[in-house]
Amino acid sequence: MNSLERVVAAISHQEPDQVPLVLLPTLHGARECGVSIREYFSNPLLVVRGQEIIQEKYGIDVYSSFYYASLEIEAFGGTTQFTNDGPPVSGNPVIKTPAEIENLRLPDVLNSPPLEKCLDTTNKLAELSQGEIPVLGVVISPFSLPVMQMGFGQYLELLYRDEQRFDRLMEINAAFTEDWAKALVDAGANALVYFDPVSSSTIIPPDLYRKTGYRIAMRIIPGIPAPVVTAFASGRCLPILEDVIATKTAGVIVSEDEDLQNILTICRKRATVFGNLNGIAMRHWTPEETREKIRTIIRVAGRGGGFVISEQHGEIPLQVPEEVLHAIRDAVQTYGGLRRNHE
Amino acid sequence: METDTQIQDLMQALIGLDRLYVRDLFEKNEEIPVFETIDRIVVPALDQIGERWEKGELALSQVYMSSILIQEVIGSITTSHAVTPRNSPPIGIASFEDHHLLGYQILTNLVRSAGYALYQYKVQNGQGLLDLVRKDRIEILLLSSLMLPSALRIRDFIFRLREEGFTTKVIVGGAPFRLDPELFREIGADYMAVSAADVLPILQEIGVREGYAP
Repeated sequence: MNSLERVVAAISHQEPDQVPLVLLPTLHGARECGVSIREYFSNPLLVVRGQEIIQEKYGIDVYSSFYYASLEIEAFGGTTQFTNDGPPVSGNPVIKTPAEIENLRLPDVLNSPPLEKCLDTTNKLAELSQGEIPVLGVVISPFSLPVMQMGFGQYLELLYRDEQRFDRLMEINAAFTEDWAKALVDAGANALVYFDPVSSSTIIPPDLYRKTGYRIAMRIIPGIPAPVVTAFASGRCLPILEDVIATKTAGVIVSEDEDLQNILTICRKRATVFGNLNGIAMRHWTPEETREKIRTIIRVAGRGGGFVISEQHGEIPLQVPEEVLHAIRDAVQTYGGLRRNHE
Repeated sequence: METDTQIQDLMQALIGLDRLYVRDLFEKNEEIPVFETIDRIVVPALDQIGERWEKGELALSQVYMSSILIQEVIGSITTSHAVTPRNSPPIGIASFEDHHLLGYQILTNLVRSAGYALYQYKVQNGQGLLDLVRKDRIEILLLSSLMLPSALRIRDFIFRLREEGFTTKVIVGGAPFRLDPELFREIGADYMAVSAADVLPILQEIGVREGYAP
């Protein structure tokens, strides 16, 4: 099977030839290209080249056209701060007081220079893949975007205390996400990650999620013309898993903090489980530890389809050594083959 | 028994954002010194909220909103009653290169609610923090960090702090430290707080050890 066939089999709940591996060492692409992170993300050709190198080097079954979370905030007029050793982060909030929500304007995703770079990258990765490697795009959920738009604390206070402005903000953000998701798929993304950490039970209680993030996901996800994988940035999702499945998401990225077997049982034949490697702890893993972790995960989750090995948060930190990523690749190839007997 | 009930009731009131109950706790016990109510009821209630969050029984938003509520109520009471802050070594708090500030805000609210004065530095990098520690002679520094690279740069800051001869106790917290429980030792911090409420017994322990009457 090629990577596309492998991933399609897994998310169709059929057993692929090997457990698919979806890691996002996004920043490692800059290192491979020998440029700074700022320079890397200024040029779609560099991002494409970086993806090409790391996909081959680490045996990853996707190309990712993800840049960084605050790219969408740039479309709203915000800024991004770059460092030399970590993910770019959003600058000052674009919404400084809740009253400014009244004047928030919907960005035009097809005429936004920051977003155009990402669409260009998506298009070029789709061409490069020749239909053999799925291209994964990422959208931030309308419900989680305000963390960068207005600051985490201010947003939580809006959520609890100002229903009218919250609703107005969600209307604009939902329209934006719908347009952005469609644009990514039109540009060649085969699937999208719906990045929604605020919905996780780590951040808000389940009953609040069901009145807010769930309703928004129910509006957005079924309307996206491609399979969607919901991600909670290593947040808990077991208390809301039935609701998450009800949004028609094709998959969910889960945390190592929650019982994988339990999650697999609930998701069986309904949603593909992605997980659950800890990218922060990965810095310390020896090759032997890495092999054992992969072997264990595959033993628990690998058979029968419906499972993809991935990192729990989304992005692999730049501080994770190459030898660990190589060890993951090798262990997946050694233990993840499902068409032969293995331990 | 009555104290245990009051602790449980306060915890539920904070989670439920019942401002009236929280105010009544102090107004109905006006003859009792504010710090006694804080130590006997408020701090244990905050501690239980922190424990429940660590166990996954509460969400971060509940911790944050309850921290705002308790700080607003205690802040207005200590102001109206002219209550001076608790006796303690100078304490500073900063968010290390993290503009999200949520962990910083929760921690600030909790520590102030427990009666401590704080030098609030908001977002700082290593050099800025060093200058402030020097200026304000900070003896306990609370650092919150969201991103792994920033958490790793705290190591350089602590190294320079020690090089200059400061014995400031550094307490760290935030997602990278939760996800990698050995990270705080790796960077040379003195303590790690999984939840904001974990800081309170540490502050008490340091204060007592340094000879500050509680």
